Formats: sequence, structure tokens, C-alpha cells
Amino acid sequence: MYKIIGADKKEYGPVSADQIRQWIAEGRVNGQTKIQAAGAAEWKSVAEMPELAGALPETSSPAPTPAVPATPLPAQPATSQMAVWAMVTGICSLLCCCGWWLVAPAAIVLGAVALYQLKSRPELTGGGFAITGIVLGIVAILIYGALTVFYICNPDYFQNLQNHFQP
Amino acid sequence: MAAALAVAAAAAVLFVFDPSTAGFFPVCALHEMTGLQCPGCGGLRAAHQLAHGHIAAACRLNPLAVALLPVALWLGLREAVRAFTGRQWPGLVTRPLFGWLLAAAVVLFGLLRNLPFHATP
Repeated sequence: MYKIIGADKKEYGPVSADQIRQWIAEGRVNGQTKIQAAGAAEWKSVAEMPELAGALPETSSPAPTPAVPATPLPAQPATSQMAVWAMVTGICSLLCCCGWWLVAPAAIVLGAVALYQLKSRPELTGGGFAITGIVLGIVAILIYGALTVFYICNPDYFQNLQNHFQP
Repeated sequence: MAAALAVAAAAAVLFVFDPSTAGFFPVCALHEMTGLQCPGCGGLRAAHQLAHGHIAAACRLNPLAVALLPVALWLGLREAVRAFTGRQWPGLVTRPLFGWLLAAAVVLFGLLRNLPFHATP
């Protein structure tokens, strides 16, 4: 069984090898289509799969020459939504001091998971968003954590500060 | 679907009840402890005022929230539209740089509103 990524960037499958061969015959799948065999970790192109490359039309050169990219137009990579949400959560963790201890770890976890996801999905981008989310989450923990610890150690400090500035 | 309903219900509660008088809204732990105003303090009250068309009152409570609420509204609507119809609205946070600038603005606002020359109650 195989999964493929269609021209619309969506995952299809799992489907059988015969189904893939039929899609090749119909022109819906070509040698550059990304494909993942069941149980395999990485995505390959159909031309790299010996059991399927035979079904490809002659023009797409079945010889394993990975240095020749036959796609004339590089597909625009999609952005990982999880990475974007990591960044949004990171900003929120700075914004809401009431829940920073809840939101900031969420930003860090989302960012880490997004980075992990980006490693195995070459068709996705968004590492910058994921790193932004992780860093902002850590900054929120540092700022609000430090304030909380400081308050616990010096409970009267802020009261004195306010009295000092009161007219 | 559940998330959309939860957000709509929370917005309805926020529209009907004023957080500055109703007692059941969450209070800011940092403000309770230290008396400091965090960047989000007054955000719920500002959202309530804004929902009733009182823009000036909302700006007095939390100008940052007034600036960010339309952004949050757009992002939320965008997620809902995609979940229900599959159509993709243009995103606002298209580059990580925007996130850094926004975060810097949040931290700067948090610092400024706690300096003594600032007269926000």
C-alpha cells in the first residue's frame, strides 16, 4: 500500500500498487509525484520506486538519475499550519500573564512538533514560524516566571513601589 | 465545530456581561499578586466595550487589545471558513518577522503601561 501527494498538495491513500499504476496510466501520477510506501518513513518520487517505475511512460526516463529534476516548475511549498499556530500561541503567551504557564508550554510543544513534522514532510515549510513560537514561549516563561519568583521572595516589594508612586 | 461553538458562546457571555462588574470572569494572577498590569490586563473589559461600540472606553482600558482584536477576529473567521467550506482566505501572519514585531510591541506595551508617568487606572 502507498500514499501519494497529489498536484493539489493533499495526501491520498493508502492505495494499492495497481491503483497507482492506473493513476500513472491516467496521467494523474508521474515520475516526480511524491510517494510513501506503507511502513516507510521517507517520501520518495515514483521514479525511485522500482516496482512502480516500470509503469511510467518512456519519456520520464526510468533510469535512476536523481540529479536530473524533470519538473519545469517547482511547486510552491505549503506552510505548516501547526508552525503558524505555534507562533500565534507564542505571542498569546506574552500577552496573557494569567495563563502564561499554560500557554507558553503549549507554544513550545506546538513548535517542537511542527519542526519534527517539517523534517519528514519536505513539501511543507514554516520552520521560521515554529522557531518564533518556541522562542516566544521561552521568553514568556522567563519574564513571568522571574516576576512570580521575585514576588514570592519579596512579597512587599511591589506594594512599597506602588505606595512610593502614589500621590 | 465544537471549538467554533465554544468561542461563539464565550463571545456571547462577554457581550452580555461587563467584566468590570460581573464577578465570574478570571482575574489576572500577576495583577492580583504584584499590582503590575500585564499586556493583556483590561483586554476582556476592552473587548466588552468595543462590542458595544465604545471605542474610546476600550482604548482607555487596553489599546493593544483594541488593535489586536480585529486581527484575532480575522484569524478566527479564516479558520472557521476553512473548516466549514474549505476555502482559503488570505492569512495575515505570512512571515515570521511579523510575529517578532508583534511580540516586541506586546513586551514594549507591557513595560510602558507600568512606568509611573503612565496614568492608566
